[in-house]
Amino acid sequence: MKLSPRSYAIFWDAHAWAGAVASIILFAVFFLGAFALFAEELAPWQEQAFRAPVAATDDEALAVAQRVAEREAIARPGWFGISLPTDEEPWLRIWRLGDGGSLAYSFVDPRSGESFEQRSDLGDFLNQMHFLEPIPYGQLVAGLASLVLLFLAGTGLLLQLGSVVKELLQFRPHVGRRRVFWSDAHKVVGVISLPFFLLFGLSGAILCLDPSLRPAVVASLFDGDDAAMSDVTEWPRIPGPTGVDAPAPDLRAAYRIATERYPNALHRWFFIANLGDENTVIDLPGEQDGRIAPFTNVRLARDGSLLWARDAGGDNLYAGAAATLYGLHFASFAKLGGKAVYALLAMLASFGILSGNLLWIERRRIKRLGRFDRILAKLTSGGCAGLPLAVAAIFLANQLLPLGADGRVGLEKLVFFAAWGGALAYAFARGKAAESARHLLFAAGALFLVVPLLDALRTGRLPFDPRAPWLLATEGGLVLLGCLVLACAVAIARLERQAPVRANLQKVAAPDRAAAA
Amino acid sequence: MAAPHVHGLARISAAIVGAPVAMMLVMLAAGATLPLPADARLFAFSFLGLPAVAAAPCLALLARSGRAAWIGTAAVCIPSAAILVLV
Repeated sequence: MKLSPRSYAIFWDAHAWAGAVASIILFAVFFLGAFALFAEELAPWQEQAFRAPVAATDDEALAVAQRVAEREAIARPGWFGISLPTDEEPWLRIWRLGDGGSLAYSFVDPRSGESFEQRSDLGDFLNQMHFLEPIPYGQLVAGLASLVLLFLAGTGLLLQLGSVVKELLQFRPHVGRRRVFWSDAHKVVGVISLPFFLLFGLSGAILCLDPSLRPAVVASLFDGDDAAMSDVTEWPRIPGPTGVDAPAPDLRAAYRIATERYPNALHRWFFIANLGDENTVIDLPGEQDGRIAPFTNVRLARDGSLLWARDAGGDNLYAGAAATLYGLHFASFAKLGGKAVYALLAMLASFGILSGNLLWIERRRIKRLGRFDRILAKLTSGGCAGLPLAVAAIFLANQLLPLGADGRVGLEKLVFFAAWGGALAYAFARGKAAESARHLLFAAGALFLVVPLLDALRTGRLPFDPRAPWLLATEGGLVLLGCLVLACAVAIARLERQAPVRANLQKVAAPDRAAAA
Repeated sequence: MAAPHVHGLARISAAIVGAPVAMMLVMLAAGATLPLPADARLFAFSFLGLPAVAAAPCLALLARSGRAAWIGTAAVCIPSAAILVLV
């Protein structure tokens, strides 16, 4: 089955234009998704205090958590969170709600009670950037880009109707034409990544557009009753405070109730609403090992009575489907190896998006690059090749910024955006986009390779020490990424040395519709 | 090879703006009126409606002309909006 020539031409144009317009955003979302997967695992890398193993039993940690909660209850915060030590983060984490709804974190030693304010949020920041949250309206943009991704996946599939297997197997780097190279690469990666694109397009759209669409959905589907929607999404609303003072709830008892109810789930977090009030409500979210939809929750009143509980997998059609979709999106079911496979797929998907842009540019080069094409080439260079440099820069900043620097967390982010913006400026300042991309990738690759050595030098430890598994995994990831980025830079240099595309193209008439694409 | 195809501003604007908005209104109207439990309606809106919104531009682009694309968009928008207002 194939499309009519008219439909084919329409979908081809639509696919190319939509891809070109959304490509940089989609590239960034997928590339940063590879880091978002390891937001928790990066904790020992970004914070040196977390490199020692957990030094307290759960009982000791719960006693410290109880003291912290009692101290906090005096100020009656509307919302407060505390976590027990984990392998990646062996201190207690404290969540406090700041001005404008922003969260501020601090950490408490589970034995001594010593505490410090957060000094780096490298992992969290890269996770948030995966959804473009730190950028104004970024989450909405990411949601719209997810819809475009669904459109691209759909039109891409329609364009390949009847030739999916052929496109999957056809890769001709030996032909020696850049256009053929990028065309084949785009189709091969597109076919391989199609299920991945559909999954992330749908889950990304639901996740990122939820805040924007919620008022319309509540008004039309739930007769304006927001609480009814909260019930269906399995996050029932919590009643407000009564104004009557009350001591902090018993965290040890809450922990026991949660672990008894869901013995196979990991419960390390306490999220407390109306702390210090008679109407205190504690949520203990959990993750059940090995399930695609692993999220559980136990909600208790201040006196320990059960208010509500959510089983893993969800209790209604929507909640079950959403939990499965989110589990697949966040790879919640996967261990470190599974997440590494996800990360490689994310990199492959971002390469597929990038190859579409490069195919566009090579096709346009046949006639003559227009203004839009030249801008797209430079945006692709600065935006896509500049992003690894920005990520490498934030890893470097994490190493080099003094621990006691005021606003250290903000400075790390500033370095990220400055590096990305600087890369864009560099791409626009240089004449040739390929050349600037090559330079940016060389710089990024070199930084990724330097960071593990710098960390070892700075902390006086042996690099690639198998006795420190989290650090070894991060070092391995950074070195692999550095080599990958350098390989891309070398590949660009080799492709640039190939004969001018125009002369070659005149010799080869497109044998079929697929080759023309 | 397919014959050259000229899109025009009307068809493109219908594809980018009109069709997705129209499809969103259809899905909201369907969610408001379908005799299904709330969880099933939200499931349909999220898991079928959002992909439908993503696919809507294809329909506008396949329309015979820009004018036809906008007439189709209006023909879908008006009854959907009316249902949302009245229900």
